[in-house]
Amino acid sequence: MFEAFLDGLAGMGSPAVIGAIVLGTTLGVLFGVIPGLGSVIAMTLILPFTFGWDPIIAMYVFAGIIGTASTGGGVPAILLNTPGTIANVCTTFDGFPMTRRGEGGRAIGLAATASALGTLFSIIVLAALLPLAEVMLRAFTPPDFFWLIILGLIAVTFASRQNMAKGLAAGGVGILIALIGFSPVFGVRRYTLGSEYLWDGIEIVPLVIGFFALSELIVYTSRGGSIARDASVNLGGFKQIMRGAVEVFQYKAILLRGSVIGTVIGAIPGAGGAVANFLSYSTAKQASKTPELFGTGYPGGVVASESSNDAKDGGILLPTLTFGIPGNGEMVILMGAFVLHGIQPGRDLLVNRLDIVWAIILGVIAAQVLTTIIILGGGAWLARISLVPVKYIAPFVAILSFIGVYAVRSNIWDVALAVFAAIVGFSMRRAGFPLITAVIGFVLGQLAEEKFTQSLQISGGGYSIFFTRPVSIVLLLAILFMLGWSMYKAAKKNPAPQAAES
Amino acid sequence: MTRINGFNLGVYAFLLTVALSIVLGATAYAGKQQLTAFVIGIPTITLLVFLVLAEVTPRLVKLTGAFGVSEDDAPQAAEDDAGGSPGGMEAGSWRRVGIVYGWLLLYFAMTFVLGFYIAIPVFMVLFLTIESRLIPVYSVGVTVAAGLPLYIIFRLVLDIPLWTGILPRILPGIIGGGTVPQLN
Repeated sequence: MFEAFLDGLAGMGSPAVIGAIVLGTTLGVLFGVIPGLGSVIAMTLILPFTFGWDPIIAMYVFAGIIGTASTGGGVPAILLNTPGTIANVCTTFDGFPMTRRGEGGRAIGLAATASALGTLFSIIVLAALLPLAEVMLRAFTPPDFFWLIILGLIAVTFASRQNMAKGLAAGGVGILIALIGFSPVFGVRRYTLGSEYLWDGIEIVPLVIGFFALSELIVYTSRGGSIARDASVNLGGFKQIMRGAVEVFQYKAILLRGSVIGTVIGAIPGAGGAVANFLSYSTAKQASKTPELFGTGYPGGVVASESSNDAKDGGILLPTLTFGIPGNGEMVILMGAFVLHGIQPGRDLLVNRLDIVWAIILGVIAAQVLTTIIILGGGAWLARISLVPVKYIAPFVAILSFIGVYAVRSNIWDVALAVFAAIVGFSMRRAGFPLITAVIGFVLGQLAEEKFTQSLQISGGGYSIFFTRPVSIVLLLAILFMLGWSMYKAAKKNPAPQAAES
Repeated sequence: MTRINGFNLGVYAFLLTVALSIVLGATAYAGKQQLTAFVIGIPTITLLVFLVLAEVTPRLVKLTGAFGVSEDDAPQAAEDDAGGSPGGMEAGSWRRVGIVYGWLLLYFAMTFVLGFYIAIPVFMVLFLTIESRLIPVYSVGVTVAAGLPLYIIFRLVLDIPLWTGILPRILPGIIGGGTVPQLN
């Protein structure tokens, strides 16, 4: 593993890798700064263009986006009171009051440095845990993997704290759609309705572009206006930015707590940056001797928020790289990139493709360093990008989406599929279905079938194999706990009809 | 009394149709080939039927609380999906949604018939002039300023062969090249 790390480090000097990191970072910062866009759309739009690239270079681009979007999102949160991503919401509580006091630069310095240190912490934890994860993977057999996939789906639904039935139904439909086309398990084509287009199944790129990029385009263009409205950017000079950057170290406990919370919460599928952000902020406030200062422009509040939302990056990569279970939208697209480049997450990745693993890890670190420099140097300029009305952004998103979808297979029907997926995705969102479970189900569908069938082959057709292995039992208990807890909480929230009527 | 949400019902019906098609289709395959469709499909269909019943039966709507189903939950789920849109699912009116989707359909239709090279500038000028309300001269300027880098990046640098439209197939030799892949 150490050799692969050194190889990866040496490879970072090549112009292609530097270019990939710069491209990923630029996209991540721009899409993070513009509220409503975010890293998922940036990754979705670039995904098809990486087809045919060296997988290592592609991973550096994705790592660049993963490591930077929530850092970029802190800039409009501080200067315009508009969080760039949902994981930056708590930054507004103290960041914007600081800006109103004329200390915007100080807050930017605090946020950028806290983000960089949070990321660094989580990536070190990830690198330390990877060898252990490889050992752990050996204990997993096909039935365990099957339950793990189901657990991943349920955990993502559970973590969104609502819509359990809709989340599970969307995940189920995602798995069913994944069964369409050629089955590598059985060597036959299924559910194609006689259409040659469906021989290879539903392609992932048009599906995710339609679901994420185009459906989001419908949302923000139909809403109109610019998302950020306040142009009163008050930085207070470069000296103030550097003051903030150094001042972070006065809040060591908050920084460490935020980084730990971000890393741990990030590793839980579905929890993500927003949960880490709120948990870190509220914990810092509870632990503080001066909780009344939080929300009034307290620098510690900015540190608590920004350290946690970036520290989730290392945590969230852990289940994706080791088990192939994507925990959030970013990881779903990364899984899509793995599919596109023929990379198999899990043991194969950790044993045979460590170059990919280190490309992602080193890419996230390099992108974070670059982002910190960009934000410290040009925070105010970046904040003004947030003021661009969405009606000017929309045609570019549509054009890039169409070209991107077409570029993968040179098939115009893929573009039609993306347009169809856009309205399906929009409708599902409007009806309260979490799209992420549908896409996770789709990405993991074939793997679920493979593990299910392998399990039955091992057992000679007996289903008891799913309920007798120790790991399977633990996973099954976790599934039952999540379902039971969700039903209990919802039942408490909505009393039974008789009780309510009486 | 709880009002039935027709839109939600439509979405449930669509998803139910997709799930039912796969599960019923699975009966045509032998042995283990149909197993996954049944194992995943039957619980999925059950959940969707449950959601439909919950929508049309007010008493059951309350019961579905036991599964965390609530209409006011939708915006939160949408925020997480969209990769962190802080605005969440605050889409505009149905009329506005229809107009925006109409633009997407128009852009696809133009691309299908005329190809990317013609559809992109025409779509951009039309969108920026009509939807973004830029004056036509600015729209053309923005289109040229944005279109040239797009052409350089995708055609000259990345060498992506773009779709040239169905028209050249109908009128061979006029615009040049391109056929529609077989759909059936």
